[in-house]
Amino acid sequence: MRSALPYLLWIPFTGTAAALLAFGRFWLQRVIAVVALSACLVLSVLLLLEVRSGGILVSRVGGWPAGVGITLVFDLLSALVLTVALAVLLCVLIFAIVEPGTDDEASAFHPSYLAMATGVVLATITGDLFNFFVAFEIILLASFFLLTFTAGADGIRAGITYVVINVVISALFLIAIALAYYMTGTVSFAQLAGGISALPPNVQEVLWAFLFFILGVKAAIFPLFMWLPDSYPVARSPVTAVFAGLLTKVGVYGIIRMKSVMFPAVSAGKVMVVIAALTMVVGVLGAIAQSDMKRILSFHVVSQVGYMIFGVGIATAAGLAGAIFFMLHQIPVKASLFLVGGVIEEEHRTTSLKKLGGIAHRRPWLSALFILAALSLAGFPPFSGFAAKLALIRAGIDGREFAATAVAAIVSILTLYSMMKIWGGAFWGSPEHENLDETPAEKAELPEHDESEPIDAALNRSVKHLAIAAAGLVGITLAIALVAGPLYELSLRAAEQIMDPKIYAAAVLK
Amino acid sequence: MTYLVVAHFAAALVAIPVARRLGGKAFLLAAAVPAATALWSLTVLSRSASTTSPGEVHAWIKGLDVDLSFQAGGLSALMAFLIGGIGVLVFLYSYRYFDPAGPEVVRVCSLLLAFAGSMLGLVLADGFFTLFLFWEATSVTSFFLIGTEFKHAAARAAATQALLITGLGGIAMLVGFTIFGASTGIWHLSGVENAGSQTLTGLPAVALVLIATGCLAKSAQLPFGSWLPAAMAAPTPVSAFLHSATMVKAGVYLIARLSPVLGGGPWRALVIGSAGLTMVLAGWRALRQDDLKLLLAHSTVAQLGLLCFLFAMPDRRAWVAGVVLLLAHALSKAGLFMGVGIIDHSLHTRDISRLDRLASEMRGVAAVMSAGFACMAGVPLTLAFAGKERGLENLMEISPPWFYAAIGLMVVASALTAAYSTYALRGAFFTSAKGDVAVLGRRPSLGFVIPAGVLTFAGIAMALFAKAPEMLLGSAVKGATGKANFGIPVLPHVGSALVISLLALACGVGFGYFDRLRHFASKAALPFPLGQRVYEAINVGLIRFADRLAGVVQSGSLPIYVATITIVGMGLIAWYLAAIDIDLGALPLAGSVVELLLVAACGVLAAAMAVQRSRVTAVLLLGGVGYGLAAVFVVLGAPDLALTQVVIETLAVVVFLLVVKDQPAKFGRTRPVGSEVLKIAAAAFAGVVVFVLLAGSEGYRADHFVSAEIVEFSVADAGAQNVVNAILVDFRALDTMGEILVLTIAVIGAATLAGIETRRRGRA
Repeated sequence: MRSALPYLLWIPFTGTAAALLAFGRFWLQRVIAVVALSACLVLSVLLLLEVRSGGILVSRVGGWPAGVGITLVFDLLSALVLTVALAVLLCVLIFAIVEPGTDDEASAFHPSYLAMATGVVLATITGDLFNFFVAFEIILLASFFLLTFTAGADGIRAGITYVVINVVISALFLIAIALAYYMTGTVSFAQLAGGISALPPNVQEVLWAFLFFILGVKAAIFPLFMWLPDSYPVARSPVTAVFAGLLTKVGVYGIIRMKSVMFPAVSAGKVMVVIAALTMVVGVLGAIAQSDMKRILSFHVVSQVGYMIFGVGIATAAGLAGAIFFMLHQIPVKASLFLVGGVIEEEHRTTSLKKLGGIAHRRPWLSALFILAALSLAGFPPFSGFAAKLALIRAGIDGREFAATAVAAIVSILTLYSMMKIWGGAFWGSPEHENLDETPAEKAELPEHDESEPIDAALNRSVKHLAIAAAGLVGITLAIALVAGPLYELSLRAAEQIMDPKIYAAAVLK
Repeated sequence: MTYLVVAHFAAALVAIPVARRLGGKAFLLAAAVPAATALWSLTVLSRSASTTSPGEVHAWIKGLDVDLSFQAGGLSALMAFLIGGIGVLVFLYSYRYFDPAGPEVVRVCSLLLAFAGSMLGLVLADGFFTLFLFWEATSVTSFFLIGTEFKHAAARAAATQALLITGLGGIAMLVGFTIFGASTGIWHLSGVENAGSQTLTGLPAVALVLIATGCLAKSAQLPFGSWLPAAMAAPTPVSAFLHSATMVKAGVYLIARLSPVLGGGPWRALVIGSAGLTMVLAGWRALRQDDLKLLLAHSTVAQLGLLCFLFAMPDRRAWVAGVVLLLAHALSKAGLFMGVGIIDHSLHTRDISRLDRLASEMRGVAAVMSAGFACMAGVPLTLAFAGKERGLENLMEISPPWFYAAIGLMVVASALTAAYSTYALRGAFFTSAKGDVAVLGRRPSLGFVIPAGVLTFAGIAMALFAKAPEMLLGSAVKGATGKANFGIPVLPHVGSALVISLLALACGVGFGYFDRLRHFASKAALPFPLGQRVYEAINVGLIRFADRLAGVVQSGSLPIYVATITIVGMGLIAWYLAAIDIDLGALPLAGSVVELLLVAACGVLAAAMAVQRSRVTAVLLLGGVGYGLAAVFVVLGAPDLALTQVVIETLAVVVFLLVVKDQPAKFGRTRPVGSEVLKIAAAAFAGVVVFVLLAGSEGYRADHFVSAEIVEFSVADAGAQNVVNAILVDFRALDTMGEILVLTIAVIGAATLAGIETRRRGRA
């Protein structure tokens, strides 16, 4: 199976090229995209089975030894993150195809989407710091265009915020890489591990702080997250769904990978735990202040990243396992919430809670999807969020991080609070404009929603199809809850594997 | 047990299509499910005098000690009986209560079944997390049931309030369970019981406080009590089932399970204090209510307080009294709620001041309610009387220093119960209305009244035929105290306890009967804010704080974001950098004078660009910085890099000029001066930090660089004379391919954006 590893990358890469060649032929592009991502997902699952008991697959690109050339490394952490990521990418793609308006505005959608997938694959399987940077560049540019050309006029402005901050960070990232190379003479993770461990602890800390800051912006931790809630909600829902589900997690993945492989000796736990707690709190309070479904959910992206950083900061295998498990749960659950938002947006042309109401009555099944995902996000049993939250609370208690554990617990109630705000505003209740005194003319302009019969059969049909696509993702989150036992075991094994950087170095350098 | 619990949820799903077709009749069918629970629990109760039935365990998340496990001890079986028995009556009652064709029938029927399943799971649960799972499930189903009338803002708010407060308790409990398990290694209730009596200190004691907090929130004790009166927005069958008989007893139940074995520690003091205060304050609040349903709600809070109070007592005899009262209260209160629902249905009001001598018109209901109030207030010859009697007697036998206070509280609470019971009964059924009289609509059918009657009269019947309660309570009492034979006295035992309780009863009846006395008592103002107002204040404060925070953090200004990110990031680096000894004075500032001059020129050009107001000049100055850098590269001995830089810079300047061509000649000056200062500060700070960082890294240069091997490999193995080419197309070809992808996407993306923009303008 080792020889199959590069195909993980080549499949979406060639898919991108093929989609470009099919420029203008929407259906062909759609088929290419679905086939490429499905194939990639299947391969990823097969490779996951291969490494599930602790093996590491290594592929030296061009046959050059690590350091001279680039090495692809596929361990359990890569496998878990990548498999869930690809599953979500595929589900969202199907949703985007079903949804009228996302991918038929421009032929560039599918190539960009596949390029983003390529970037995600590369980021998770590369064993090279500079190559990791390239992966981020691919993701950045592809996501920038996905954001802007699905979002309309607002998208350009939001896109500028997004791209300017990320480009500034890219420049700093380059400086950091140069610095690391200067001090160690290599950019291969496995060799960096050795080189960095030879540096004095103080110097290691500086390097770590630099990389943590850069990845922290990508992961949207406090106080570096402001770009996220300003740009994500502007895009069309499928795009936001995949951004919110995936992109920040690639940053978190980077933090986990680099902390464990390159900086095992740096004791940054306290700083990370404090930052994590602040991220959770500020994110969730930001969510509470919003009155738009997509904006609320975007702030939650930030808040939930705090949980993962908390897990990493506890600095035990259990904490890391909790962070990994939390990430696996978070990717589909967040994407599914945005997709439900997308269905609502498709039907009502808005996600503002003030203008929505009574969806629970008109679309009971859609509402059920939302409530399942929302309760999972808030960590209610028996959903995946419960296992994820419990894993972190347990690790926090065992690691004696009582204050931050208490924060994590309270934030989960505030999460519930804001989920209830969405539920009360959009699914229960009635639109605010119905309560206001309005002239009949103004009323006529608003779309009338009769309780019994939807106005437009075509719209009704597309809403149903979209709901089914969203249900696929909610299904993934439910499946995660069902297999939480084995999945937690795998996360723990992945954590233990990366906690010992020698295993990684030995596999790559042998 | 697993099957029984799962069957409830399966039935809840099946109920959706069934109720759609059958309407209200679905309630009659659904009643079969709780009936099965009741029968099953009776079989357990009848045989478990010998042993507790074996547990069932299903693995779930082994690594976190989470499983799905059930075990039916005496108390669990008693609770299961209440859930099943009262459940049947609630379903029968619902059949009459709801409009059979109403839209809420499907929802309520399905949710009530799901709730019954959750509640059953809760009382049968053995593993901590199994208990927590069903605990939260009851909160969620309760949320939806309270929100049955979700078009009313009050119902929505009440549902949310209940979910948030019980959820807060739930999370405290989850943390408590985790701490308890992690520090003792015990993850099951049966494990706690098997470990025998123990006094806990340290972490487990903290854990117990957290668990007790969850119990208090669920059972609506101070300071969490506000959600229960608000939850009265739910339809009456829901109130009768969830918010009087079963769900609110979950906290009481857990306290009762833990209390006999986990001695000492602050948790007892917490529960006794909170419950003691609650039973008096809530009872006193009930006295002020005109709405019958609200009166019952406050009374429920008060009675739950009494139960928590008794169960948390360190003496097991108080526990026995608690379990008797638990049964008595569940029966009488559910019946009373149903009675109020009937009144509401027939007269469309629950306001005592509008009810006019109902006893003459609704004899059946009057009888049912009288029995219910008598049972609740603990009139002699009722189960509650026996229970209270026992509680008082036991309290008088224990003598820690605070027992006078405890007895005092109990006496006041009983007097208050008697007072509001008298007031409600008299006001609704035996006195004329004060306001406009509510008109009796349709007389309630017999089927409507019977379920309520069964419940309220059961409280009397059980006191008279003591075999029944002994059978129901025997194994629970044996589990807790080790003695099966406890005897419920039908006739009061003459002693000081009797005198005290009769005195309390008389006082209470007096207060309730004489309006002037009641007015005097109820008008007294409370010196501190309670429940509802605190909840609202927190709610408003939270939103206001969040708004303000979001306003500060999320200013929407890109320069501020960039500045914040740079300052924070560089600050983090500087903080760590400060720990390293760097002698900046020893570092050579530049390799040569030329180098220094070039860098200075770049700096001047950059500064000039930043203050330049003409766009074209700014672009040219930016180009100048780039060419200056190219010159620096030349001096440093990298001519190939310099060439690349010149090409890129030239291209960039040309493209920039083409873009600027269509724009106003000058930048507008709209930004406030403060933001300029911030930007300059951020840039300067970043520059200084990066400079110090790079200059300081001088001493940590690696001994060996892979570039050495790369040169070696490129000639020997890659067959390339030009190392840079070998790197680009061979050693690091993957990077190059990635960058090609980046460029391709950039081209397509830019072209598409331009196309969309053109089309958009074309349309407009």
